[in-house]
Amino acid sequence: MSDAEFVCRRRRFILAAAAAVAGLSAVRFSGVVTESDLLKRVLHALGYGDESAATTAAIDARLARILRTKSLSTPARDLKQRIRANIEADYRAGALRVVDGWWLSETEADCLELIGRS
Amino acid sequence: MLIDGRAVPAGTELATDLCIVGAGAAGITLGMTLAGQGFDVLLLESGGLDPDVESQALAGGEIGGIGYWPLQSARIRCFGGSTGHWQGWCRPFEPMDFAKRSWVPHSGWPIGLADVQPYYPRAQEICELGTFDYDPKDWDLKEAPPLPLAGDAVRTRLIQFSTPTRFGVRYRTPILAAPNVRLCLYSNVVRMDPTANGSQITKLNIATLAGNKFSVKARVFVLAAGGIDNPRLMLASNQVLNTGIGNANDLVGRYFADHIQLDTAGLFPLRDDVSFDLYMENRTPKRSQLKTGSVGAAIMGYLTLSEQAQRTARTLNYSCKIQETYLSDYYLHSRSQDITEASKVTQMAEKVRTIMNSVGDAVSIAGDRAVGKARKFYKLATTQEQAPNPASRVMLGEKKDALGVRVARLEWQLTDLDRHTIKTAVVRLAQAFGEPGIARLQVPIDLDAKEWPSNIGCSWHHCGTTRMHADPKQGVVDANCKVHGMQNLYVAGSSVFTTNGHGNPTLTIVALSLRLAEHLRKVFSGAAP
Repeated sequence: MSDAEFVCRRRRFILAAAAAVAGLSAVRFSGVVTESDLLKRVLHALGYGDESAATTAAIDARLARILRTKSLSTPARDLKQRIRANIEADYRAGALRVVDGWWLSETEADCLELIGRS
Repeated sequence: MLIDGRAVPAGTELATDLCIVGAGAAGITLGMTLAGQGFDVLLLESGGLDPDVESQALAGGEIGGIGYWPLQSARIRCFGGSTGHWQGWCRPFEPMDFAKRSWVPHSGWPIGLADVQPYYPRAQEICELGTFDYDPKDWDLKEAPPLPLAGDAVRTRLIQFSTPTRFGVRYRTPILAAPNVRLCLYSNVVRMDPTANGSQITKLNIATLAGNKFSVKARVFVLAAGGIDNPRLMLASNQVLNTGIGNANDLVGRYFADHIQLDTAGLFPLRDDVSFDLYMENRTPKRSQLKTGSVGAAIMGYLTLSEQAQRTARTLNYSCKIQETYLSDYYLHSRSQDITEASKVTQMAEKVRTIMNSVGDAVSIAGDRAVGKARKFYKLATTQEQAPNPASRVMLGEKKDALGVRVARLEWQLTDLDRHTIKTAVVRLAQAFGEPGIARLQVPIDLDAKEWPSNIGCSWHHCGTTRMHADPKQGVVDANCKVHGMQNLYVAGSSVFTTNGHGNPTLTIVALSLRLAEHLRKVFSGAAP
């Protein structure tokens, strides 16, 4: 597996984990995105080598924000726990953002906006 | 004793010690409580024992402001008054509801909860409820526990359900059997006559739809005709004092407040291990029990902002119900009006697309439901206090009713504080549900819009129009419900509310009427001025 391929898989995994933890499946009722749509969009957004460097950097920055870390190398076993904690901390602190009427934590909103931008 | 006002000979002058105008929750409570006392009571009622179209038509009026339900459907003119269409929801006021809050202009009653609290237990009995206890901790809620929400900004409180008690049916016998109480039906007060200096009411002029007219003289009068007709009658009695009765400071009819009803948010549950049953109407046992073994009641949970949360965010008192609903109902109800307001084709297309997506979701859910794996969906229905607002008011309209009295014109107006409260509550609710992963909120309305959403509603709780205040320049009645500047005129009912709290007023109307009855007993015994 090349380094680029590894990074892409890594991004996809992080997003899928974030989506699962954040309870974004609920959002499908709003017509924003369905779960299968979500995965398709992630695949598209993080496609193999068809992104510009700027887009890739922006996505990485957003993923780092979701994880609250500059590194995307968080161990897989800690990933969901970390995202869950970030979401809970957002709600506790009132760090909310409205996305298409959804009053979500910043972390969840980051996930949605990243996916939606693809 | 029962009198049919239509049969009273024209020109008759009925004499009594105490005349109560209006036989709804307040008037009947007063009449019952004063039964057997050493003074005569005459209870005047506009309608009959049962509703009739002609009497009800006298409740019609004009609507301005942000709109309202037609006034003839907002209350009932017959013995029992609006308890005839009451849903029976009861909850008491809280200490903060009486307090002067620096961030709520015109707030602050001249009395506190401690002054009303002694009357709530008896009010519970009159409304046929359980023990006066609304704290979830005191109830056995094992089968339907409160939601484990995060933080302390949002809390669960309880409603007790009356059967509901139809006062006109339930208390007909005690009123008619009372030796010192006369109930006079089909008798409409068309004018109050004051003395030349305006300090006393000398008589009431009565008319019936049959055409006869007579009058009532009394030592003391109590207006108990509701939050629309109490001020209407005071304003319409302007033959001697051109501003009307008790209106030297232009306050009668102002500060009209109702409880705002608004489907504020969709609630999408995420956890299967959390039950919403406590908050569902008719989902708790028919009669829940208190841990102490005291008298139980049918109850339901609802959510409010804690006092600390109100204080910190400088909001009004807020509550919301959780109602199970269909997704399609929620979206089509909350968004359909938007379509008519869309001015651009692109906006229209976007909204149609959203609705079609929602309909698609609804179809999908219906499919899930058919195979037994449906996701439940709820909405948060706001019922909140309204900010006291002198521009929100009852005035005299241009038209006259069948008896020649100018109808009421209602100008219901809301303020930025009302909007701020809803928006703050949504944030706190999103936090409380979000942190423990119980649910996510979706808000279909623009909480920052200048216009109020088209689906905003009212509760038929007419409050504030003869508000209580120690200062005659800030209120119409004093702490004893006596009209400032008048020696023998009192007001009962929710029109005396200085602020209207977050919920249903009937229990507090009854409690305040019991308190007024006690005061009137002292007046007639010479123990009070």
